[in-house]
Amino acid sequence: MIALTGNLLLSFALLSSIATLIFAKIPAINAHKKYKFACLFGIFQFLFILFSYFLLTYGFVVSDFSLVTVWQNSEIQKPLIYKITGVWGNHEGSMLLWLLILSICLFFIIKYDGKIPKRVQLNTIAIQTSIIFAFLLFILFTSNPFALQLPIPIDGVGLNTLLQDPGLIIHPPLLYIGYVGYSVLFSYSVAIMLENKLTDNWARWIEKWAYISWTALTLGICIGSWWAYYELGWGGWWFWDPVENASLLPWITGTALIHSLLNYKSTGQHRDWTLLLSILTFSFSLIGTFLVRSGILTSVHSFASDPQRGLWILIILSFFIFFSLFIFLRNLQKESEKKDFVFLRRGTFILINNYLLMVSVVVIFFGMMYPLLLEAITGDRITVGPKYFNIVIAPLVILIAILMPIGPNLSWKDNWTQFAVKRLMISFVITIFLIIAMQLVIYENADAFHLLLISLAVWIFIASIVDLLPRNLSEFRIEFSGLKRKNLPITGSRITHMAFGIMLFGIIYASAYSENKDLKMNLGDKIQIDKFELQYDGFGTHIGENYDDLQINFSLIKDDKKIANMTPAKRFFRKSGDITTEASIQKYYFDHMYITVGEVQEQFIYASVSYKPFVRFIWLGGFLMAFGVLFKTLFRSKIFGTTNA
Amino acid sequence: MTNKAKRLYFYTTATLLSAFAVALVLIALDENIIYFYSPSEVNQSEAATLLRVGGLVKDGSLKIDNDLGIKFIIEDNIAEVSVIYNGILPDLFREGQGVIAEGKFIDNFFIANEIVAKHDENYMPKEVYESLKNK
Repeated sequence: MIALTGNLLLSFALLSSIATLIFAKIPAINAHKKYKFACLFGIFQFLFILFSYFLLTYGFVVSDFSLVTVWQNSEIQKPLIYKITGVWGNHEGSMLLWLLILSICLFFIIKYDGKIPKRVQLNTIAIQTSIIFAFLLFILFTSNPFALQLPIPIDGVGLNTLLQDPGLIIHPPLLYIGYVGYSVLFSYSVAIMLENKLTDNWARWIEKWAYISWTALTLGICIGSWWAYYELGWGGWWFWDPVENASLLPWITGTALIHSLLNYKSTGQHRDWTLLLSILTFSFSLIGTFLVRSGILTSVHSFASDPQRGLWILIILSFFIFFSLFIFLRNLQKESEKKDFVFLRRGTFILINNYLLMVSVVVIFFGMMYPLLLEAITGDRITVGPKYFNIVIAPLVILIAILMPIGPNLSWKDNWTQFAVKRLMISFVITIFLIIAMQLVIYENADAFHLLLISLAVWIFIASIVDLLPRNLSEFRIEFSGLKRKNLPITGSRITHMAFGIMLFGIIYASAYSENKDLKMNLGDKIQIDKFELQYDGFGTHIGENYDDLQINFSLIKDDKKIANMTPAKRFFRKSGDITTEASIQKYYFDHMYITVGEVQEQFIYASVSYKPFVRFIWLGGFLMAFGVLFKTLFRSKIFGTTNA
Repeated sequence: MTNKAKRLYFYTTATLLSAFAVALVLIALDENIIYFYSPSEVNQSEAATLLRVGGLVKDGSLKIDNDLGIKFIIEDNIAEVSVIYNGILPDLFREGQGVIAEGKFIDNFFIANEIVAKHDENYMPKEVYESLKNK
C-alpha cells in the first residue's frame, strides 16, 4: 500500500513539475495566467513531495518491511527517534530529503514577496523546478525509496549501528539545508542573467539565502566534525577526507559569495563575479553529492555505492553546470573600469579575500581529484595525505588571518582614516601583550611557527572586538545606547570574524600541543599525561535499549586528587552483533581528555589516551560563526540600501 | 601613481602569489602522496616509505600478542602481507572483510600506523575491490 501510494505521489510530483515548466515557458497564454498556473503547480510539487516524505517516515515508524529501503535500514526494535531520523540514514531516504528541501526552497521562491519583476521570478521558479525534475527522475529510476518487495520479511536488517547516535538527528538535515539552500541562489542568479535589463536590487533578494545556507552549512559541518570526534572515536575533528572536502568547497565559495555580495551592494562592482560565485557554490554542492554517492573517491563516509547512480548525478551536474556557465558567458557584462583604484578600500580587501578563498578552493579541489587524475593517466592508485592539505592551506590561512581584521576597518568609498589606523594599532598592541602574557603563563616552549599562528588567531579576535568600538567619539554615546539597530548587522559580522579567530586558536592549539598515548594497560596501572594521571580500574557492564556496553573504568587524577571517572566502552548491539567503540571525553576548562579502548582482555587493555588543550574552541568558534551570520540575517532587512552598511 | 599602474601592481602581485601557490602544490603533492598496493603487487623489501596495502583480512589470522600488539594478515588470494598494528582497530574491522592499512615495511612486517575505517559494513574500499576483481 505504502509503496504504491509513494510511487504515485512521486509521479504526481513529476507531472506537476512538468506542468510548471510548461506554464512557465509557454508563450501562448497571457502573462498573468502563466504566472498563476506555474506557481500553483509549483505548490503542488512541494505538497506531493512533502506527503511522500511523510509517507516514507510513516513506513519507517510502523516498520513496513514491504519497502526495501525500510527493510534494509530499520528493524522493529529500533528506538523511535532512529526510526524517524533513519529516513535520511540511507541513500534513498536521504535523496528524498534532498528533494524535499529543494521543493521547500521552491515554495519560498514562490511565496517571496520582494519587489521582484514577475518575469525574473517565473524564470527562477522554472530553473528551480528543472532541478527538482532532474532529481525526481534520479530518485524514481535509480534510488526509489518506495521499491516494493514480496514476500514481506518479518524483521528488518537494522540501521548501521554507527549511525544510531544523536548526530544522525541533526547533522544530515543541516548539511542538506546548506547544500540545497544554494540551489535558490543558483536559480536566482541564472534567472537574473537571463533577464539582463534589471534594477540592481537582486543582491538584496539573494543575500538572505546566502546567509541562511551558509549558516546551515557551517552548523552541519561543525556537527559532523563533532560527531566524528566523539562517536566514531577517531579522536580528530578533521581528516581532509574527500567527503569532508566536498562540504568544505561550497562553504569556502559560499563565504566568498557573502563578501562579494556585500561589495556589490555597496559599490556596484563585480556583478558578474558575484553571480558566478552563486553558480559555483551550488555546482560544488552537486559535485560533493556526486562524489559521495558514486563512490569514485575512497572515503570513510561511503554509502554503498552504485556506478549507475554516479552516472546519473554526473549527467545532472554536467547539465546544470554547463547550462549556467553558458548563460553566464552569453550575458557577461563588461565591468566598467573607470572608477579610481584605491588600495586601502574595503572593496579591494574583499577582492583579495575572494582571491585567497578561490586559491584555497583550487588547491583543495586539486588535491582531492588528483588520485582520480593520476589513476586515469598512469593507473597508479594513490591517496593524497592530509599533510598535503595542511601544507598548502597554511600559507593561505596566514595571509587571510593577517588581512581579515584590516578590511572591515576600511571605508567603502572614503580614504583610510586616522581612526582606523589607531584602532588597528590598539588591536596590535593588545595582541602582542596577550601573547607575551600567555607565553609566560601557559606554554613556554612554543615554536616560532605555531606562535605566529596563535598570534594571528588572537589578532583576529581582538581586532574584531575593537572594531565594534565607535568610529568617532561623538558616536560613542549612541552606539552604546542599547545596541542601536543600524549597527546590529555589523555586530553580526564582527561576531563571525571573532569566532573565526576562536576556531583558529583551537585548531592550532589542539594540533600543536595535543599529547597522545596508545598503550597497553594492566589493571591498576597509572599513566602520566600532561598535568594529569590516569588509572585503569577494571571493567563493568551497562544495559542499554538495544545494546549492552562493556564499560572500562578509569580515574582521572590531578594533584593526587581524583577529579573524574571516565568510562569509555565497547558497545555490543544485540540484534546485529556489531561492536562500536564509545569514546569517553572529560572536559577540563576548554580542554578535553579523550579515551578510547581497543582490545579488552582479562589481564590488560589497549587504550588510546589523548589530552587536547583548547580543542573545545574549535566547535565553540564554529557555532559562534554560524550564530554571527544568523544574527546578521535577522537584523538585515531594515538596514540595507545605504552604501555604508 | 596612476590608476593603471596601481592596478598593474595589484594584478602582478596576485599572479606572483598564484605562481607561488602552484609551486607549493607541486612540492607538497610530491612529498605527500601515498601509493596503494595489493599484497601481490607490493615489494616487501622496499625501503621504509609510507604506503597503503589493501586486501582481505585472512580468516583466523587476527592475534593479540602480548608484546607486539595486534597481528593479522592481509591477502589477495595470491600473496599475503603480515601486519603489526599498535592501536585501536576500527569497529568494522572483521576477518574475511576488506581492509586498508597504512604504514611501512620493516623486516618483512608491515608496521601499520593507521587502519582505514568505513561507515558501512558492506562497503568494500574501491581499491581493494578493483585489485581483487582480477584475481
